[in-house]
Parts: sequence; structure tokens; C-alpha cells
Amino acid sequence: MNSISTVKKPSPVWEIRFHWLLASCLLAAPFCGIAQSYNALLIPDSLKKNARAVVREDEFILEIKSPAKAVTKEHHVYTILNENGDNIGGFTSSYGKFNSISSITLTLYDAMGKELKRVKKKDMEDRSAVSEGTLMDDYRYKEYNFYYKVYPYTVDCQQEDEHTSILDFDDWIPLYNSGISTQHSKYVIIAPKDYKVRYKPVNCNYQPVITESGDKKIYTWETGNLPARTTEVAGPAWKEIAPYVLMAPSEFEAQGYKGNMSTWTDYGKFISQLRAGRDVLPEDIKKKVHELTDHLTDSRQKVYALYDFMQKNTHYISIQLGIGGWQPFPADYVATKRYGDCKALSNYMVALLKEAGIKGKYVEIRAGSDAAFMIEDFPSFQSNHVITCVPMGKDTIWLECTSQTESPDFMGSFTGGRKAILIDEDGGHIVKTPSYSSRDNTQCRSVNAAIDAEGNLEADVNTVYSGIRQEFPHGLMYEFSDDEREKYLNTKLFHLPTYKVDKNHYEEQKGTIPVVKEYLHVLSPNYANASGKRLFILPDIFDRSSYRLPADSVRLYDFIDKEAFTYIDSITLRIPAGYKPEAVPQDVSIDSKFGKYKASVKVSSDKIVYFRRWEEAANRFPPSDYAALVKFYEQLYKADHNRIVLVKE
Amino acid sequence: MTFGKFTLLILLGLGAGTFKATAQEKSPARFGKITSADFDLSKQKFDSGAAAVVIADIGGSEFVGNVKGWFSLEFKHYKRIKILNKNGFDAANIEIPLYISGADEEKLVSLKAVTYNLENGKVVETRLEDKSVFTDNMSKHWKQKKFTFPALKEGSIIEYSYTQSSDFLFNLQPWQFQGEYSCLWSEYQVGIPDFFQYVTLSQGFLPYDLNTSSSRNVSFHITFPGGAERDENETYEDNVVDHRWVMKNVPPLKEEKFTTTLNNYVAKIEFQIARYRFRNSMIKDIMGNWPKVSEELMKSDDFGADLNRNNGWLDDDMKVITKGAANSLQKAQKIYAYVRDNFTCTNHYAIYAATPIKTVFKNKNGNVAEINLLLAAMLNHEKIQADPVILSTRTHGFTHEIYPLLTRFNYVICQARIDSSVWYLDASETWLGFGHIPERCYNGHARVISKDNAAPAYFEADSVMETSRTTVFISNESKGSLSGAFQTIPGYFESCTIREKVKDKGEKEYFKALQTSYPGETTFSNSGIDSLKIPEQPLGISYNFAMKVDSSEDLFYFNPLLTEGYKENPFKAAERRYPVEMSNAFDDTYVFNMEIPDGYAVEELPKSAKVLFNDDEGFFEYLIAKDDNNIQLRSRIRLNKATYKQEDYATLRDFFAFVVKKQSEQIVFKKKK
Repeated sequence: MNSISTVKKPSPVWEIRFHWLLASCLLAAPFCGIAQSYNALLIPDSLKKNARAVVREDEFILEIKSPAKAVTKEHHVYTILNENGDNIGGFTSSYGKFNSISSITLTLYDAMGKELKRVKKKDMEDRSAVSEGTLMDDYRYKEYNFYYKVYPYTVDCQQEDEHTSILDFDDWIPLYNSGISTQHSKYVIIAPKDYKVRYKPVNCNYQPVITESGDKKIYTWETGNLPARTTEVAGPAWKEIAPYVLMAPSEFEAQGYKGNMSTWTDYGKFISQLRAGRDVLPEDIKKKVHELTDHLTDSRQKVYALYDFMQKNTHYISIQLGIGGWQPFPADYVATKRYGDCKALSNYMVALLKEAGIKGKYVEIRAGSDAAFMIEDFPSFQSNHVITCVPMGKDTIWLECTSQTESPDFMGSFTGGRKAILIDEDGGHIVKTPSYSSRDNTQCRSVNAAIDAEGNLEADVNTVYSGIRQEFPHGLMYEFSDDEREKYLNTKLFHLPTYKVDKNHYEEQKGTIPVVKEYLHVLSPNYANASGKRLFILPDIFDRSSYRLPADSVRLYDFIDKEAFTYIDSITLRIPAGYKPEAVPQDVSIDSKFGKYKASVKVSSDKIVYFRRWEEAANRFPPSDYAALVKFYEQLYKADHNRIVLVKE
Repeated sequence: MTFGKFTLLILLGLGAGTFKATAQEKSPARFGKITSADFDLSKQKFDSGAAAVVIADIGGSEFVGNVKGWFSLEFKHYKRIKILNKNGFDAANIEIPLYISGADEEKLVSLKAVTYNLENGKVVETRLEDKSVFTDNMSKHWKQKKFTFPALKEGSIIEYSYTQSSDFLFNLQPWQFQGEYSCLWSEYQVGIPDFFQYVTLSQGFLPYDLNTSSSRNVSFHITFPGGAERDENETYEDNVVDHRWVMKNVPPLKEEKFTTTLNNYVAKIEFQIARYRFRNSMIKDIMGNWPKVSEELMKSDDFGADLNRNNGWLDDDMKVITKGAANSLQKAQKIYAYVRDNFTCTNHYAIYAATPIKTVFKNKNGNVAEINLLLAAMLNHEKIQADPVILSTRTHGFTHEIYPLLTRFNYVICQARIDSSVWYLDASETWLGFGHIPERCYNGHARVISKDNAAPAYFEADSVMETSRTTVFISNESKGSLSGAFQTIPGYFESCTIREKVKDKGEKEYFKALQTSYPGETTFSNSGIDSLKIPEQPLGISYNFAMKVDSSEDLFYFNPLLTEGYKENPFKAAERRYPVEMSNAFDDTYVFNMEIPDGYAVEELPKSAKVLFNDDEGFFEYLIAKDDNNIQLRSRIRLNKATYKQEDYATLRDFFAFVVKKQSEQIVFKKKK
């Protein structure tokens, strides 16, 4: 019932077709070439190291017949080495408006390569794939699992699909994911001679062998014997380290709409075409726009007024049918229904701005705090979200239209600090959304507290959060019910032995860097440990770091600090009379390239004054820095857990 | 025998005439009847932080004659909700599930939905368009009608109504009075003709504000399809008893930790068809009783039919599987281990077999029913008496002891009688040992299903005692650090969890994580885990550790519990609405011996203490003592029960607060001058 997840609006992901590790295998009939032996004993040891599964064979053939017609044939053979690899052996394949599955054959083999079982498409469950948070879409999926558990075993999948659009190609990803090695992988595109096939190798130099046959050109990529890799704590995402080749169409057609994706200009024109004529507002809304903005002279104020109107009068509902996965609902639809997805709401916002004489732009972006970076020089469908921006010289305003509560001009961790495609009349342009520094993302906590001789704590806690740091408290304010908030505050917020937050209050200041102010009244029985005549007190009451890195690993990849932040704690803790300090931790001050940390404590006859400041920038460190990073975080951990001991006089 | 302590089922009367209609209080809302005054809820009582409030939720089920020569059910549902703020927008997303079986399916007719907004004092309505209602074909047996209300904003009132028509007489719609939002008026009416008898099951902590019944005479028009001949129309008169239940100002449901499932506590009413008698025919018994249901289950291909066969196809394999077994017990153990280690459980919640056990045996996989039915068949094949036992797992809710309501069950285990002992077995989990069943099965009443009997069996969480024992020795062997030897035998289920963890990540990673849980610089050596491959036994975990001591300090503080003990109170929430249901009782003992470090003397020792929990229901002791060279501590916490009433919650919370405090106390050492 209660989602203590993150703050964000229902992730408005409108199109999930990126087949990164989809165990969605497919396969086709007559594959020439290597005679298959499925005997798992034949797998070289180098491919078993660190591996839970081995891709024995991976063949994908895409035959483009026309910009609106293609056939794919896939053949995948996986040997599962242990139970952690079971998910690779399970079969799931989705289909939708633009593709249908013609055939599927799955075969199970034992370790020696003896066939145990074979199933076809008709044996599989057919289910709706409407995702959580979506009212309706047209994806469905086929699913099958042999549930075999005598390891190793081998699964052979063959699938053939027909496509009535070639909007989006599967990329060639010879190494699926961590812990999976690949013996042989091949990707083939067969296209009419004059069709421009587009591809771009990433983290590798794989180039196709191109041959001709009649009026067709055949592009073949092939590789093999790739050992399994592992990923690391705070390391780069798989797509930053694994070799793969991006594939995309040039000319394409979907549901009667024609386009070309060779340049961002052409891409932008296609999206503009989908939006053409969809910015008409009903008369009452037009009137409303003028009512809200005509009296304002400042354009920024006009934008804010319209954004506020949009937020108050719409909410996010996702319906993705057919080309509707790419095409927004018209502005008048949003006006009457008062709902839409990211595309529809942004399109509506742009229409509102237009009515007020302001040029707003529709911007496609890949959203999510851990979204993959964009490959700028390879136009293709890389986005999963749409926002609005209003260029104003240097002072562009950015608007997230799926949230009813977000500040105008704040992108945060969801869409901030990344490249996006602005769709203009003349096509698409790369733009960059604002980034947030350690000055923007802050948490300043001021605590006024007292403990008694039993160690019971009573504290007034005032915290000011800003930037990305305010996203969670913002969610607590707006997306939690009173009840859920109370429950969260009283069970999850602090690592105190037993405690109660009996008063809470939140206030928001909207802005480019939004701020949330939080007041809490906290009671924690026995917070300080009273043993005999001593009181043991951790002066860092609320923010002790628990971050420790595993020490003995050999580091292969960069260490990434994603988010910049500054934490400041200043605590005044009154202590009972009659105690004198017996042990007081020394001040700590660390100033390194990994971050700056300072903690100091002063004990006087009636109080303890503790101060702590910790600042880190968003940064990336080479593997050679890893040992020093381990030490850095150990020092912080230790400093945060330093104890004061008071003894009765 | 202990019967489920929190069984809240109250049986209401069947049939007519037990209640007479009293006050005819009307429901507060009707579709389409709305004025601006209805938007003002300031006089109504509901929880202050609510995001939405249900003004009225009204359902009715009745029987109608159909054109297939029988009866159908018609369920009418009307609901009006006020959206108070944005968090309540979710209440405007509606899903109506419809059941499909072969050519028969439940149908939704006359769906209407309207949003009302108050604009300048006037009520403005926006209707749902037909094309905005989507059909999601979920799977073979279920589809869903889905829609969301248009023109929604904070303060909107939304309402919808529909009729759902069903040929499935077992699917007389249940009614849940309590939901995610407060409800001002929740009402359900059911009219049951005397032809049919249903058992009514009502549960929850909330009383009915109205609970009435009356009877009337009804004519049912039934068409009998004639096939090649003409259809025949008939009319039958029968007495219909109308029941009406109303709850007002129903609080929302709220989840809490240590609850098996809210399903056991939500205010709701359900119906189970017991029998019918149409015209002058014989009474047709549907629900039956436990012995009869048991007999039928044992005859059914979906359950026990294969157990009654001699299963000769097993002959050869059984010889191999039981090879070397000296007696029945050893045979049973070998068979159990074979099934457990070679079969994959594809679905842990099932009471029926979809596949004959011969096929299950060949495919090496099956759902929990199939796997444990196969286990029973294999035991029977070796002349060991084995019967399936059906039960409901903890998250699935309690079963009914009196009525054989099979939908309340979702799990099958196996009972084996060997010599004079009774064993309960579950071969669906690789980590389970012979004679153990998973914690999720400890949910009270269960039934042993056999040809001629249906004996109840009881699996109470209170009966599961998890006992752990940890010992630590710290000596002065090396300079500048404390050397310790740590040994622990966790409880059985804790051992299972660790076993799974070790299997996932490896022993090395397991100890690495343990090592980082120690404060300061601590290194491990000689680590090892006993009984890792013997799922019948608890584990034995041991390691040596060296902990650095800062010898420059005059004083040195040391928590003798090390990383053991409670750091935080498991009962954090200050209030409690439902009983506390933990998965087991427990008894954890921690024994600590320490040589006083060279060059130091004990400056201060925590005080010994012992507290009792509710007199004899448990205790916590912390006994510490020292002599010239050694310190000894024994910390033990024992709770005799797993389940507690709401009233005991504050005591539990205080008890653990004391445990946490005591277990964080420090020994103070001082350098000798």
C-alpha cells in the first residue's frame, strides 16, 4: 500500500522497447553454418569463468523489405550453468501493434546435448503486457519456462516475427549482461540495395562485412569467445562498458506516417509531423490563457502562470495504442479529459504557451536517475519521456509536465544534467538540461536537543533541503498520505533504537532550486546509553554514514559519484547536570579530491555542540583511486560513529 | 489442540426468517442525483489526512432466470467517491475483473460513469465516453474492463454504476466493507431464492449498522433451449430472502508489520454455495462436508486419483532411488531427497494438479501440489502410508475448519506415517530438510486428505520455537588486539535463510559481509560453516577474529554483544490496530567469556538484569560478572509465543526497548598505572 520508493511522479515511460538483455529470443528455421552441438562439456573454461550462463549461439537476421515491412529471424542457444542463470533460460517475448510473432520453437537439452523437450508457440501462455502505471497499451507477451534445474542445461530458442513498421531495430549486443559469456554472436541485416542501413559501434570497433546478392545488400556482424564480465559497486552502467552496435533505420513508415531518421533534423521533422494540427485549444481554455497572462508583462511570469494552470488542471494517465506510443493526444483532448501522458501534457503545455504568444518547445529525453547517456551522433529512438522548454536567451525555462507539484524550471535527478532532443519546426536539435552542484543539493540540519540522565533524548529538528536533496521530502509532502508520512517518519527515517516523531511540519519554497523545510519533534528513549555512572553519546544523532566499500576487490572500472551534495549538521545537545567528559572525540577534517569532511565537537558543563559538514561533487575516479576511496569512506564512517563518554562527577 | 486464536469468522444464519426488517434506512446517494450541497462533507466523520473518501459504495446480487435453462447472477454495483486531493486521483482508475471459462464469461452491461465538478456554485458533469473504456484480455481466465474518469480535479465527485452478469453460481460476489479509503456508507444486499442455499461468512472487527432480512415471492422466467425443437419457456415461483448489511463511517484499512495478511481482519462478507433444490428434484449438495470433499478429492484427476493406482511405471526408478535403504524411514528419506533435489517447483501456491504425476515425474517439474502428490505416490509405492495435506499459507489467510471451502486453501504438503511416527514433508524447496515444512505453512488449521477420512491438522506459529546459541571467547593471545573465537548455532529457519544466502553469494562473501559489520579494524580467520549440505540440521558457524585496540587511549569501551543482539526495536510504530503475528517463538542465548586485556582493569561493568514478559510468556536476562582475570556474560531472550493480541503491543515494544538499551551497554576498561 505505501510506496516508500522515490519521490517522482509515476515514471512516465512511454516506450519500453530497448531490448537490452531481453531474454526474448527468437529464432528461425534454416540456419546454415556451424553444426550445433549442445553438449555443455564443449564450452571452453575461459567462457565458464565468472559466468552463470553462456550464450552458445546468438543469431539475429533482420530482413528489411520496405520502410514498412520487415521480417526478423532469431536463433539463440543458452547454456545455463547454475541457478543464477535461470532467468536467461526463461522465455518471454512481447509483441504489439507493429509486430506479430509468426513462430516460436523452444527446445530443452540436457548437459550432454540430448533433447528433452520441445514446445511451440501454441503451447505458450499469451498474456497482456499492460504495465503497472499504464491504463492501456497494446503490448502482449508469450512466455514459457522449462523450470529445469539439473545444471548445466541448454535452451534453444527460435523465433520469427513480422513487422509492419521499422521504427526501431534491436541493437546488436553480443555480451548480454554481467556474468554471461558469449561463444558466438552474429547479426545480419538484409536490405534493398538502395536502402541506407545505419549503425554505430559503441565501446568497440565492430564493423560489418557487406556483400551483395541480387538486389539486396547483406550486412553481417560477427564475433565470439567473449568471456563474462562483472560489474562493480558504484561502477559504470553496463552500457558504458559492454561492446554493442546501435542499429537504426533511415527511411521508415508506421501507420501511414513516413519519416527518416538519418539526422536529428529529419527525426525532428517526423515528430513534428505526428504533432501537426494537435495544438488546437478549445475556446474556453484560450480565454483562460488570456485571463491568466494578459495582465503580466514578464514572460517568465506568464510561463509560470500557465504551468501552474496546467498542473492544477491535469494529471498523468498513460494510454499507448499504436502510433500513440509516439504521437501525443491533441491539446483539446487533454483540455476536456484533464489527463494525458508526458507527450500529451507537454504538447498541451506548448499549446497553452503559444496562445499566450510564447514559443514553448517539445523536448524528448531519456528520464530516470540512472538513465543511460544519449548517443548524440546517432539519431534514433533513445528517449522515453517528453518535457517542455521555453528558450529565453540564456535563461531557458524547463518544465516537467507530468507532475502536479514540481517547481517550474526544476528538472532534478529525473531529467536534469543530460542531453535531450528539442523538436523545432526545422527539425530536432540537441540541448542540455540543467545540472545540479553540491551547492544546489544541500541538507542543512539544525538540532536543538536534550538528554536526561537515563539517556532519553528529546529533539527539535529543523532541516532545510534543496535541489535534488529535497526530492524525497517533496514526495513526503505531496505523494504520501498523512498516514503514510507518519508511518515513514516513525519507522524508516532515522536509525535510532526506539523513537517517535510526534510532530511534523513541512513547507515548500518553489524555485529553480526548490527548497523544503522540515520540522520534526523527536523523542528517543535511551538514545544515549547509560551504563552505571557513564553516559555514552553519539553526537551525530541523525546522519551517521553507513557507507563502506568492500576493501579487497581488484578494481576494474571507474568509481562514479553520481550526485553532488552538501550536508551540514549543527547540533546543540543539553546534558544533565553533574557529568564531566571522560572521552571526547578529536575533531576530524578531511580535504581530499573525493570530498570534504569536517566534524568537531565541544563539550561544556551543560551542553555538547557538534558540527559536521560533508561535501562531494559529482565525479568520476579511475580504478587506481579505489583503495584511497575505501579509506576515505572508512574515515568518514569512523568519524560519524565517534562517541562521547560522560562520567558522573 | 489450539484453534487459531484470531479466528474472526461469525456464522450467520442460512435460509429465511432469522431476521426481520427493522428500520428502512435509505442509502445516502443515488446515481445522477447530486446537488452542490453534496460537495460539502464538512459534517461527515472520516480520517483527517484522507486523499479521497467513498461517499457510498452499494452492491446488490440477485438471481435471474436465463435462457440456458438455469439461473444467472446479476451483480449491481454503484459507487460515489469524492476526490479530496491529488493523492486521491488513483481512486478514479477503475478496474473490473471478469471471469471466463471456455465459452462462458461474465459480462459487463450498462456501465455508466460521470465526473461532477463544482464550478461557480454549479454542478458541471462530464460523462465517460464508451470508447474510453478499455478491455484488457489478461489471460485465459480473466479479462478486465478499465477506465479512468475524465475532467478530474481536486474536489471532484465521481460515480459509476454497472451490472455484471454471471453464469457462475459459485461466484456470488463477496463484499468488502472496508477499503483503501474511508467509506461513509457501505451496503450490500443479496436476494437468495430458497432453491439455493449459501453459507454466509462474515468477518472483521467492525459491527454492522444495519443487518436486516425480509422475504418476498418472486417469479423466475427460465428458457430451456430446445436444440432442434422449439425453446421452452417456464416460470417458477419461489420465496426469496433479501439480506441487507450496512456499515457507516468505515475506517480505511492500514497495513502493519508482523501481520500475516489483512485479509483475515478486513470487514467483509462472503458466500459459498452449499446446496440447491430445484422444483421437486432431490437436494443437490455442492459444498458437502469434509469427509465427502476428501473422498471426492481423492477420486479426482486434479488431486488424488493417481495415489490410488499402483503406479507400476515407478517400479524401476524406485529401485534405484531407494537403493541401500535399510528400513522404511531411510527409504522415505531417500525418496524425499530425490524429489526435493531433482524437481523444480514452478508455482508455490496450488492445491490442484494440472498434470498427471507420471508426466510430472518425466518433466522434473510441477507446482507444489503436483510435487507433493508425487512424493506421496512414491512413498505409497514403497508401502509407506502417505497422504496429502491441504493448507493455506500465512499470506493467504485462515482456512475454515467447519466448511470445506477449498478456495481458502492454496498449498499441499505430505503426511507420512512411518512406524509410529508422523512426519510432515514438503519437497518443493531445495533448502528444506526431511520432517520440516516452511514457515509460511504455519497458519493454523489444515486438512489431511485421504480416501476414508479428513482429519484436521494444526500448524501453529506458536509451536515453532527457534532456538539459537552463540558463544564468544576473547583471549589475550596477541598484543594490541583482542583475539576471539566466535561460534553460533542459529535457529532452524534462520539456518535455512543463511544457507540460501551462502548458495547465492558464496561462503567468502558471506563472511566478508559479517566482517564489515564489525566496527573498527577487525580481521577474520578460520571461518567455516558446518552442516551446510545437511538441510535437516541447523548450521554451525564459526570464525576467529582479531580486533585492533587503540593502546594510546587511557580508557577503552567495549560492548560485549559485539555485532549480536538488537540494535533497533523491531516494534517501531507507536500504535497497533491488529494482532501481532510473528512467524515463530524464539529462545536466543548469547554466552560471552573474556580475558581482561593485559595492562587494563575493569573500571565499570554493566549491571545484571532480568525482566519477565507477561509473567510467564517470556523473559530477557543479562547476567554479567567478573573475577580478577575474566568477564562472563550470558544474555538470553525468550518469547514463548509468536502471536500476540493488540493489547500486548505496548508491552512488546517496551520489552524490546529495554533489550535494545541493555544490549548496547558498554564495559569500561582503564589502563593500569
